[in-house]
Amino acid sequence: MEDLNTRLKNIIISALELEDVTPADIDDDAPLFGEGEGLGLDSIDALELGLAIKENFGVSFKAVNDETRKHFASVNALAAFISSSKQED
Amino acid sequence: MADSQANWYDQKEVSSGTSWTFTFMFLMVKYLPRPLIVAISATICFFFFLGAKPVRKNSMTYLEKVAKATGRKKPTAIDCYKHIFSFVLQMLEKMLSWMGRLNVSDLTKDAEREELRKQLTSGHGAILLSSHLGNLDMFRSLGDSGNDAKIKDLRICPIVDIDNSSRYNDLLRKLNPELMDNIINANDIGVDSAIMIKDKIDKGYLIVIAGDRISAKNHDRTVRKQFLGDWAEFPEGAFILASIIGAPIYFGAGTRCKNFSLNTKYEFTIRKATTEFSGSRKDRKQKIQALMDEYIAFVEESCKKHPYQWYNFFDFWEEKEQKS
Repeated sequence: MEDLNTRLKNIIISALELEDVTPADIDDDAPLFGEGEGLGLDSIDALELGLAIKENFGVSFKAVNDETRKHFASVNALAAFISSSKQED
Repeated sequence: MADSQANWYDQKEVSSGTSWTFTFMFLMVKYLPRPLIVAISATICFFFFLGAKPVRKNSMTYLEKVAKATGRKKPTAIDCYKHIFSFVLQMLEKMLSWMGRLNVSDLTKDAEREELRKQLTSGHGAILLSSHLGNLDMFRSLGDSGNDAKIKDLRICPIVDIDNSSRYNDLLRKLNPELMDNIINANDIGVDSAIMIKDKIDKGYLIVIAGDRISAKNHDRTVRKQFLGDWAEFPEGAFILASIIGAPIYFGAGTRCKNFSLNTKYEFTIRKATTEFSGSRKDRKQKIQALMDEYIAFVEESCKKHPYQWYNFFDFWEEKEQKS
């Protein structure tokens, strides 16, 4: 689980070209989106991150938007979603 | 502001008609010869023209701006009638095209369209930013039911504001159920649909999305731009989407060569965007603006060339006036 989280953080950093951010700086439970919170990513970032996750893990977000938003809540939530989708395959 | 918003959505419904009008149009298209369809619609359209004051007003605002931009003389009520009648013809031709009754041979040749076709047949998709100018629906229908193998191979996936024109789409769904399956709802653009679009692009689809439509549900971020000599609000969403998908971006407009006939050739003007989104995302914001400027220049140019084939009867410009 730890490895997946670090991988995810690296994907977030490279996909979004976050400067001066290392995987260690990203809290597993901190919210990724929203102003003034955690990484403070916006909706364009979400689209890009979604595409990057699709490319790296081969998992898609087929659910309706509200569900998708939950998966994007934090690194932990994303990791949980990716592992559960992979098991289904 | 809220009132004016409500107002133009209502108008959109008025201008797209009620379900019996659609049924009537559909029956005409199905059973009558085209010149007769044109004659009947011209007569009915005249009464609609007399009754629909808000539509006339917005049509006039647009026609005045386009006349000023091209240095033509001030439009009259006759021009306004022609504009509305052209819109009626566009609805009829959409029905014809969805029934597969327009021939691909009705197209003119175009070099950049050929480039787009090559791009798509190579298996790599592209994004086409459409507008209210002309009728790109035609392109989608030709892609699926055309009798020219070259175009028949094209796979087209339009992104449509489904809720906003539902009655009309209901009818189109009846005419050609399969085509409707390939549509992405513009009101649902999120991570999942971005991935779906990316998938389609990788399969060689042409994704068609309007760059000048403000969604009825999603109040997207808008940007103020000069359009036909005045400030107007353009939604950023389509351009943002185009910027992250990583496929070549084209602008397009499908227009009738004869303004007021259904026996006409069609011209599809395709222009490849010079703004590219490869490489770093740091200057993306500026690039999105550059892409929007390019797009607006293309739409303006098309409006000047085909003033009556601009099918938007809501006033971009009025919104600006209310805001300021």
